[in-house]
Amino acid sequence: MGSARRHRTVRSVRRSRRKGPHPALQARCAWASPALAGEGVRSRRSLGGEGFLLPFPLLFLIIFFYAPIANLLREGLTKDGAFSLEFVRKILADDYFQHVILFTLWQALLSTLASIILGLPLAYILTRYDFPLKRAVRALTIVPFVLPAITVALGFALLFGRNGYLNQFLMKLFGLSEPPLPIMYSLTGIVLAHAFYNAPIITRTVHAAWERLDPRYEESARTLGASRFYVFKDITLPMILPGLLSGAALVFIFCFLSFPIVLSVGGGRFSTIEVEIYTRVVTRLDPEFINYKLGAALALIGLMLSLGMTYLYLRLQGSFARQAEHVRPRSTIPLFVGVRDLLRPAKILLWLYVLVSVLLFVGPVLAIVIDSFWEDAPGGGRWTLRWYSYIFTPDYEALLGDSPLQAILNSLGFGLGATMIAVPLGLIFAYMIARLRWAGRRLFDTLLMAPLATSSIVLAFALLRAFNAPPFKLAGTATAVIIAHAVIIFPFVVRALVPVLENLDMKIVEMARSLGASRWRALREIELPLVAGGLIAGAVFAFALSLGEMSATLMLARPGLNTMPVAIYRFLSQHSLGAPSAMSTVMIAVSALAFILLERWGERIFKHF
Amino acid sequence: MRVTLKEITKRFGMTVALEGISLEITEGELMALVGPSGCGKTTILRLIAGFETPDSGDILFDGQSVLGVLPERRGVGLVFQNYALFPHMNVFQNVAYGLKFARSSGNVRDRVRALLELVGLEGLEQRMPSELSAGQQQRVALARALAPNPKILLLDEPLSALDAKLRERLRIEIKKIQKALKITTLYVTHDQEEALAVADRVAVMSIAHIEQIGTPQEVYHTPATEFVARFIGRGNLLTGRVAQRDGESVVLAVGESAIRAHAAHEIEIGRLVTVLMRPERIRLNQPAENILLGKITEVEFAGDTLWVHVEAAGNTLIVKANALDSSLHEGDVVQLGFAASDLYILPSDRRSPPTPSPEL
Repeated sequence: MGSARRHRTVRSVRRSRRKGPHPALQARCAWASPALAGEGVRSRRSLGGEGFLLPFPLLFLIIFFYAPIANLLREGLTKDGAFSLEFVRKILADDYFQHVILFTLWQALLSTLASIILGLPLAYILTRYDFPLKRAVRALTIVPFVLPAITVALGFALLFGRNGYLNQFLMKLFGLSEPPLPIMYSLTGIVLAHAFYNAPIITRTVHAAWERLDPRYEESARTLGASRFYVFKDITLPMILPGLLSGAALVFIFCFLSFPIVLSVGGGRFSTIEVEIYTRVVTRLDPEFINYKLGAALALIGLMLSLGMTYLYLRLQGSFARQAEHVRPRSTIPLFVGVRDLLRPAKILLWLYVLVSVLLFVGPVLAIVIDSFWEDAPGGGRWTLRWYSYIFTPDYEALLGDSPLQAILNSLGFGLGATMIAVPLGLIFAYMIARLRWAGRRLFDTLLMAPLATSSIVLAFALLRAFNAPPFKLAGTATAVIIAHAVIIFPFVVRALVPVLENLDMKIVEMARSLGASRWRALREIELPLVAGGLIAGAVFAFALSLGEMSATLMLARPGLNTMPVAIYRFLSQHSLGAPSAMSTVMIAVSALAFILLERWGERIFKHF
Repeated sequence: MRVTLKEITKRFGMTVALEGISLEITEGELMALVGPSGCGKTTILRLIAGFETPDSGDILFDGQSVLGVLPERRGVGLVFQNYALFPHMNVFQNVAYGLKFARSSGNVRDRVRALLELVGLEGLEQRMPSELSAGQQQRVALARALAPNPKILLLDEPLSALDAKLRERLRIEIKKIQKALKITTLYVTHDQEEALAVADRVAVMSIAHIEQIGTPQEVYHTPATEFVARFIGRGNLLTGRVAQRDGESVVLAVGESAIRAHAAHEIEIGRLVTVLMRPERIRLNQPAENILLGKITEVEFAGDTLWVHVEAAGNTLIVKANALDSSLHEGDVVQLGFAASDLYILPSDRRSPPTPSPEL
């Protein structure tokens, strides 16, 4: 075993020095957290009879993603049927569009830095200390994946708005006549809301990297004479840095593509590429965007940027995935030792961090729930259930062009529809990734990269273009919304299911077959029962994502096709807060339910995020 | 430097990892610490390195207590089983890392070259750890540990990750280097054969206790306890009752046979004792002081040796025979011959009657 293993190590790593990590390894670590490399040796095989399922997800991706996107890009790159860079040039030369593109990058950069500042201390605390509810805190870092972005925007409006709880409290406390914290409708607000959403991702990736760092590296350095400071600087930091960087790259991409938060928390004062496309197409009906030429060019530029960043992210992931081995568990120390210890300067810093975190992470959610039961009235306010009775009655609401109840029903219906499309297709796709050898796996991973790097706005924009004429006139129908949701959640479903399937040792299946089970029987009696839990978790995750989806829905929505996030956005943009709070509370309740269902499987299915 | 452990006790939560451990490694000595996994060997090493603090007892270097001295100030070199080479530094940077903090002046480049020469890795300075074979990684780890001129070297299963052939070669090299540098060394291993081969003295541990400290010959031939007798080497343990005694010479009743043996300790007549009989001490079908008749139950071919399992005196005994001996077959009746001096009666005062284990 010794020499074979040695050879493998030497060979694979030489490759990695010459041109970065093994290309297949990089590709498969897309959107992944680190703990993958150890599994590279698991038995793989070429496909057998199950290969005939392959065309289904491929056709789905081609028809509803690649073809529409290609079509859209063609619009941006042609003039009168001939190739032309005119529209791209026009965008790049325009002061205003330049500003939009730079602002998109700038807010993403600031948001990433804020996420790091907020997320890093928790990663350290989780790695180093023991405290009550540690497991729960760690599990809660998956919440952003199931909590809809628009509820975060609403929570921020309620907590940090001019009339928000925080400003009201501070005004009362200090006797001020003006709200002291102008957070809503500012860049600060956008950055903080993004940090709320993405700091947990930083925490997750850094904590994972840190926990997998064998303490013997640090111990070796100490016996060589390095003090704690030097150990951190020379050993710990360089070794967790790839984890931090890949988490940061992921956050940057999410913030770059962010739409609901920029739109609602920015309050129309700030425009990113996504917001620009949306407002020009939907609200301003700008002819140069409606006829796709200029809009397609802007979408193209955005897509190139996010694809570039996604590629960079994959490279980081690859370099990160290399070091996996037997790791001695880290020893932890209790966080709370005694009352006197709590007053040490370092611990006071910690309390400050906890305070800020609670305000930022718990505050918005709490504000929504409280507000949904609260009614302002002359001379104070009172507890009420009227917002709930309002959202559950089928009365026409002019703001929506429909009833709030219809939005709730639509959300559930679209969610179910999208889940029923995305989960079976995603399962087949994930199966291919988990089971195929290097080259095939690389192909499938690459195919998944573009859907991940494409914003929902651009996708909806492309779908509108592709399916607005017979024979496929889908625009303006529920089918279009369901398909858009399915395409959007598809890559996430795949990323969630790959580790579930990867965890299944093919040797077990081979064992079953050697005992006489047919391929189908082995699938039914061995593989499916073993992955059932992960599959259900994947479906719950898919449903939660669809439920929270707002961007594409808003682009495609017509009266009658509103969903809860769209309804919340419409209420919020009219500064009507009671009804959206009630609706958000319903969504938070559904998210909490999803969270509870996912918690058991969370470690596995969120391994790649 | 002399390392002394005095009555060390260490608990992790409810589990007692070490209980009343006392141990002295003399200047320039290579002591092997051997025992089954989980017995606390590594904890002893980590205590000496300064990564753990004992609950009670003291650790002294040259008579000075080092409790409270930080790991980086103890002047201890450490090699782990997985080597823990810094993956983001090349060989040169790994070996030179400790020199960064050493007070001694001198050219770092020369020092690194000298060390790489010592471990036979000249010219590999620029390689990354991942580009090295496991054996090379092990050598770099050793060079790195030795670089700051530590007074004590701690090796934690340094060869366990290597294949058998390489392990045998490297343990000779380690011993050579250790002797050349005259560095006080603690060598932790679970492999008793490795411990016997490499050490000046061996400390045998069972769970949380040291069973015996002695030269390799002592622990092999005159184990202090039944645990040591079972753990070190292959052997036959027989239970017998002392039937006669005449000075050092005793007669033991084992099953229905009488066996003459030497007793190094005082034993009264009628007492149950455990006797160790090493397989290589038994001659087949040759005249001897003691003869037992037995029947071969199995002949195990191991290349240079035949391990013959013989049922005799109510036990299954293992006998080492010449591999060229083709006269031994399953079912044959053979004579087992051995002298009284080939047997060793274990000091039985602190042990309950042993349970016979045919596995040995």
